[in-house]
Amino acid sequence: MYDAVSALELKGLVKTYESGHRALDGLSLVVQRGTIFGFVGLNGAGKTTTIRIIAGLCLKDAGTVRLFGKEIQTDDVSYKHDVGFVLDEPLYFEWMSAQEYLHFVGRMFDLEPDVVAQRTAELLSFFDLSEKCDEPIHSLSTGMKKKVSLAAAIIHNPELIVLDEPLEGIDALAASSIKETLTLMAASGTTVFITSHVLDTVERLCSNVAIVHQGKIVLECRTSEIRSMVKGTLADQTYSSLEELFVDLVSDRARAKHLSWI
Amino acid sequence: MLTHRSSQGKNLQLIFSIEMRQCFSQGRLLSYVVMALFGIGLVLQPGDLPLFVVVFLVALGSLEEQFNNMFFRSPHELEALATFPVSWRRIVLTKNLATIAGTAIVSLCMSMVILYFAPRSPDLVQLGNGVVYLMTILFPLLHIGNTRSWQEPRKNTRGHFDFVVQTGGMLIFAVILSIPHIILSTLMKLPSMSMLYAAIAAVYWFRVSVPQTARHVEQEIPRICTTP
Repeated sequence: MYDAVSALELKGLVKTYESGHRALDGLSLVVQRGTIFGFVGLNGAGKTTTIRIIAGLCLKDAGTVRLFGKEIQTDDVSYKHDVGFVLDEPLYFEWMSAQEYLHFVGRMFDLEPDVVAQRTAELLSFFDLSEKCDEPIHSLSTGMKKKVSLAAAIIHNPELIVLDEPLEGIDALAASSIKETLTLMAASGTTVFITSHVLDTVERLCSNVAIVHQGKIVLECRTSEIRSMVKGTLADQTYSSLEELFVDLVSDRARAKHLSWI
Repeated sequence: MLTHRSSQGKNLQLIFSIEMRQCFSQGRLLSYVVMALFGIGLVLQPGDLPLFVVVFLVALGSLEEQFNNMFFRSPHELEALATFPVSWRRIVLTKNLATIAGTAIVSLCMSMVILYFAPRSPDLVQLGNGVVYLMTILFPLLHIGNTRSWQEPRKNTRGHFDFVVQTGGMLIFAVILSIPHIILSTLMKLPSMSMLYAAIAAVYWFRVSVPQTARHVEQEIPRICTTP
């Protein structure tokens, strides 16, 4: 049954690559509107595949993707008006300057030229990109490229923003401004769907979290509930962090790990 | 709430302008110079090679990437385009139209350079024949380019050797595709049939090749994106 208040609803997603690797194995989750939703998992757990399916960059074998209640079809592109993407790979025409690129993206989302000009100027200033706004994107640092990517993803004021590892490979200052932006957007009603390896950040930034493991959701809850969750083996002990819960859920506990010389 | 706005015309103008900029970017200068020199070499050869055929072949060859690798003029172009609310059919069509415009502009420039060095002056009849010839091979080449763009995409440039191989391959295709024109116009003296053939090729390109390419991109985008 479709949840009327959900921004994003994934139901029974299955994806097996040609190599035989089953990236998604019946993955289902619901992202409520206006939340910052953390989607965490090990490398190869299925995070990027999920995001690429939402972006139309990967075809699912089975399951449904609903955005704001409407099921997305393969040939439907209209939903992209309401979504901003920051994918794992840089998205830009790297020979353009940041200013040109933002202008191009804004126009591609049908914004009027004066609106694009105003938002571009604001975004360049907000992300401290004004000084380098005329330099080609390929000459910018990784952090600056991520900022350009995020700026491009939000210039059309999407109702949902989907980010794949936006904090990877960037310095603390750039990460801080990205987190600040996401918090601001969520406060104004935008839904944020984010994957990250930085569990500490996810715990502090996100209101909801889902842990994906081997293509399935193994836990979906509010981050505020994590510290009250009781550990499986000890009835009186709760988890102290998302990291502890995550390790407990996805590590192979049956296999005792050790190094022979330690 | 999902809203469905559709003003794709402006989007297509943007993609068209980006294509034209990439077509005439500084990085492409070398290929134009090499192909112009090749064209000059051809017209200086003894024999009776039609001047405009040389001009158009050289122009088409210098735009090999535009024809045969349309989704990777920049390494992440395909993924960038996938995030915009524009259908692949419109993107393919716009890229093809930009290629046609690029062919016209490059042909004009090449004709100025090559004809300057040509030992004989062309006349209007030769120009007319040349344009008909171009029309007969342009749309089949667009179809082949569309197919190659999704079947054998090249995400990264592979240097000068690759340029020579790919351009050489395209020129061989162009020569093979010249056969109908040679039969209809040169041997049978029926240029109107050549024009009819070009018109049929154009209809096929628009009605079959463009939507077929868009469909393949939709279906095979994961593979195309992960191409080396």
